[in-house]
Amino acid sequence: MLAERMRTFRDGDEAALVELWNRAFAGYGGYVPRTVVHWRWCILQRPGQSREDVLIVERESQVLGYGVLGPNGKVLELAVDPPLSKPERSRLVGAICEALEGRARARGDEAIAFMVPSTDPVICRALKERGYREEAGDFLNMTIVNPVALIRRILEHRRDRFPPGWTPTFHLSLAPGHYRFSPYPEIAVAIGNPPVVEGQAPARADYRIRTDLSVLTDLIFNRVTLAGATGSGALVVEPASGLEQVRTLMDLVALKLPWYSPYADAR
Amino acid sequence: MGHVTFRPYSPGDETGITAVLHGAHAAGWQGAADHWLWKHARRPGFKPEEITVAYVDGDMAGCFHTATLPIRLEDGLEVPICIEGDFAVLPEYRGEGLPLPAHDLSSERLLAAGVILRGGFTSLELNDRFYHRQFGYIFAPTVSADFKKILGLGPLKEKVAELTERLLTPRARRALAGERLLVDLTIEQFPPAHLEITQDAIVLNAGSAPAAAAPLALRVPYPLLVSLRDGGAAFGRALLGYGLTGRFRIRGLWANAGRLSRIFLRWAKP
Repeated sequence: MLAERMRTFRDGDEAALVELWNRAFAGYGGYVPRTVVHWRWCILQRPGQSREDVLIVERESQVLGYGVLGPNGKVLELAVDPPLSKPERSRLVGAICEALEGRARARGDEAIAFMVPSTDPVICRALKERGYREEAGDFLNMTIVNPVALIRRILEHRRDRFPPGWTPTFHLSLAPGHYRFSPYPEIAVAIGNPPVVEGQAPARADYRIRTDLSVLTDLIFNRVTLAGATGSGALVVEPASGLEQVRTLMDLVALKLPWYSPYADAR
Repeated sequence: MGHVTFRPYSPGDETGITAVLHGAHAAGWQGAADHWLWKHARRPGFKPEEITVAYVDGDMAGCFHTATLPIRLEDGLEVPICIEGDFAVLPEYRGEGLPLPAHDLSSERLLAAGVILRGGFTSLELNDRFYHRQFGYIFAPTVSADFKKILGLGPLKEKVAELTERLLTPRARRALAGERLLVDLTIEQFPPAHLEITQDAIVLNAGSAPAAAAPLALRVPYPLLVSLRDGGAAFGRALLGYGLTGRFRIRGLWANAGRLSRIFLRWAKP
């Protein structure tokens, strides 16, 4: 096996790092997708940031992983090539950690911190073995500005998942819930190709859904189930016989990928 | 409250805005004008209306920063999110509800600009107490996990200071009355340090204790320190394990036998 080597950033590395990042975290939502322009601003142009803070492991010019030490010892990004075997990934994570710790010590940082996906046992185990400790952190909270556009974008994206011949219409009546800003108290959804979602009450609809925007947010972001919402009375379907149709709609708009946001996104 | 007005950022506001940020954060806003410029005005795609400046009777009282970026929801599905941060209101203008109209104003603007989500980085506690109740913010199911490791004596000194409150119980203070116990610490990958233990405090100092004081000497693996936070049983197990493998060692017991005996007897006395 050819040996890997650790080196610091060189001009021209951006595209490979961005490509690796987007591939390594394809199974997650909740982060800013990397582009070269965004990465240069977010990492290279950050005040106080040096190219020596970007540590890259490569084998025969192929980038296998990298880590970026940011201000105050925060590791802005850590990514390792997903197809590698577990032992290889574990070894690479350990090597990158060691290099980042060395860099942090050289800079005089008195602590180092990583934000990593808890669902990646290789990274988590490697950090714990090196004496890292999981602590409560700040995470990305979120609220919906435009529920009409969100539902429309999700349904358009998933239209190939619609059941064949499925063309119901829905009328959502939304109380504000915890929202101060709720611009669309009535939403019309007409399933078709393309699906039509509008911020007004439809002239007629097959099914009516009465709930509030907080409950709808919880349903879209997979924090509650439709059964939980209807069981607690937080969501009512009229007529009740339309529950299965509403379940199909909610399954189609629910976002199921777990969210992961690196320190780089918290800026 | 006086007359409140809001307006978008315009070039030249940087000094006033950074003064508000520094004035609003007790611990000091991290960064200076160049950090602010990078974070906001030099961000690709930056628009002046993404920053709102609040004035009360003509004086700058607060600032509210946002950044519209794409966020990934799933493969091939990205939507615009407004990421908020650096919300600041000077202390003298707090408690009068400035953030609420600023948030409402920006919601209208974001809707018109085609933004679909808005969010920011915050703690679970602050979100439950404020953002969720006021504006409906939630955390999408997240797998982000924050891992930390101490590399230098500064944070370790803070941890020792925190431990002082827990360890120096009235009984411990009585046992330590009139004593000054010095303990040299050798922690893997850390610079040398020593503990000074008295009835008033436990203090971690940089450097070794004077040899003339015949200090106790401890060699401590870093994971043993980490296990302290898992409670007595976990620490005990780790101590036994590291002791058996020789990674945890104590020296100077004999030289300090008299002092340690006195402390123990006073501690054991009912």
